[in-house]
Amino acid sequence: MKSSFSQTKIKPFFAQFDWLSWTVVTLVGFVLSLVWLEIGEPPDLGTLQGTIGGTLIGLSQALILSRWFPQAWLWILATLIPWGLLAGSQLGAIGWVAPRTELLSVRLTTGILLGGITGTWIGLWQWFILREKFPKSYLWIMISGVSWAVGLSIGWLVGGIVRSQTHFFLGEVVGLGITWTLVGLQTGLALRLLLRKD
Amino acid sequence: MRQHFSVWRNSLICLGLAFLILFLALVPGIIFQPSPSIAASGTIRERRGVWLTNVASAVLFMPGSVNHAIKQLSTLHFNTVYPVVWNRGHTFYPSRLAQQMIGQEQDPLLSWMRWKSDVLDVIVKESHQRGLQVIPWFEYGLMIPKNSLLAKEHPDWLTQSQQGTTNTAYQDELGTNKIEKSGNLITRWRQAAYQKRVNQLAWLNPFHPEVQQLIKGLILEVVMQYHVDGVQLDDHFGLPVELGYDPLTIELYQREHHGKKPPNNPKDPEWMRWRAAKLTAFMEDIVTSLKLINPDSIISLSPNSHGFSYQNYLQDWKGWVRQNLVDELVLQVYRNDLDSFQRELTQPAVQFARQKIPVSIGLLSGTLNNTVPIKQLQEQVKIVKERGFNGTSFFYWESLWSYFSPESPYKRRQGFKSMFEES
Repeated sequence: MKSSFSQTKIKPFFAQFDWLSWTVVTLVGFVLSLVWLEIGEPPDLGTLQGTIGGTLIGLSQALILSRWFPQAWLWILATLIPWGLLAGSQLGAIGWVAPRTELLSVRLTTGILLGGITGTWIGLWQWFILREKFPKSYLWIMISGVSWAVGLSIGWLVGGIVRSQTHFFLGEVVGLGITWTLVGLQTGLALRLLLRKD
Repeated sequence: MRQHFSVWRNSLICLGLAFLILFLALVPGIIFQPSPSIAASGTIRERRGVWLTNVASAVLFMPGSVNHAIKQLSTLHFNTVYPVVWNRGHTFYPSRLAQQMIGQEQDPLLSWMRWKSDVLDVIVKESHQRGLQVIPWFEYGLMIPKNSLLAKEHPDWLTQSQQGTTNTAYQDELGTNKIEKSGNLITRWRQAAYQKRVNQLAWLNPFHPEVQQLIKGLILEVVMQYHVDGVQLDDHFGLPVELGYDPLTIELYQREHHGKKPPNNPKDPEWMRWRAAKLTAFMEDIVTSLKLINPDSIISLSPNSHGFSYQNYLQDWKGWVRQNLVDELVLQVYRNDLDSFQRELTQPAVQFARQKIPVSIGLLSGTLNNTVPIKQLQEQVKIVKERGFNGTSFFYWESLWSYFSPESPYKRRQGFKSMFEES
């Protein structure tokens, strides 16, 4: 039996999922979050900061999803809850923190590991919203995990290089901007493929 | 049509939900924050100050920034701000005198960014409400950019070198204007930009009556117009030793030397003494007038080391202390090397000043060309405290705990909190 959620699905207003807008709004959501949040190191940001950040990212992305799904507001909840919980855990608000190490090899490896965990965790929550939108929707969890592993490792690597060259902590902000852009890009392209199949 | 409506309705629901969540997350913190401490003024035992400048800093320009900055400073136990009021030939408060003599009421960018609102008034009110003293800072003193409106309108107000040029090689006590060949591309580009800027500086003639009228007038205007706790002059209230060969100064010198021209050697001891004494006389005039208006107003001076100040800028601050022209000294000791830092604190002129007035130490918390780790600042503050100085002040706000510091803003704030918590 199909749920009322999928029955009331809006026919796509746009022929194809707009991955570019998705990437841009994801980055805009991150930049906007910096009005309220300061980038720090893992223990610096807690549940409140994670929730605020998750809300802004969720909102930005939900505005694109609202062209595809009714009740896109659920995407905001499915993003802010895992970010809030993650930020309150030992891992911290990974999308808004820089690693303490300057060693690029460690940044790269921990970026892959922690990015993978973060993406899988966020993807799992978002899958609850996507699960009836297209077949094999469980792939979203994996896609999110891989996107974050790639995005975070490259972002932390670039952040470390820029920081060491400029001696400004701003380098880490630039690195995280790259992370969110890469995550947006990969998940946006994946959504384009997944929604086309639908 | 119906489909369009659904998309818009969908988006509106998302926006509404997000705003609701942000509201619930942020508002309790704003409503239930502890009430601010009240009224700063009075004697401060230990100076813990910060300079607020307009150069490489957005704090004065962005609406709400100064309120936020002062709130954070108050939380971390700072007790003084030195907001810039005079820089690059512009005031940073609406000035009738500047309008009259320069043709611009205040810095045009400031007017534009803040819709002509009075940022100094905001700083004074917010600071006093939170228990901080406000000592407006005449950052550029007698220095102005060669291409400023003031320099263009009044070329006769500028002093000259022997060669007739109005600008001179800017002497930086730390030599930070020298380009390091070993630095990376970004560092070299930043240093080159800095050097280009400082080489375009000219100096107002401190012996010109109209220059004196302007500088003294601005200082008095600030004290009369605002409830400030004092005023501060710094190392730029001086005259580069190579300058003073303009027609007016030469005529003054000849009048007092039986028609004899000033020596060709700008470092001739008597010629240096004569110009330094004239600068001291101008300082005396300012202080006398200021004390007539408000005898409680603090005259703060933040110079470089005495040897450097006198040899390069004819600023004899030791003499000023001796003549009771300064109430408080904030000695700039912008050193990365701890041995050199400690040496500066033991200089005879510093020891002399400490016997007469409160002396605190100005520390460099960082610039775009020279970032300073928090550990270094903690060590320096510890040394200053151990030696019994009357506090520390930091140059400048933006480098205290922003992204333009080597560590995260959180880590920097924790560092400052631990420095002053024990006080």
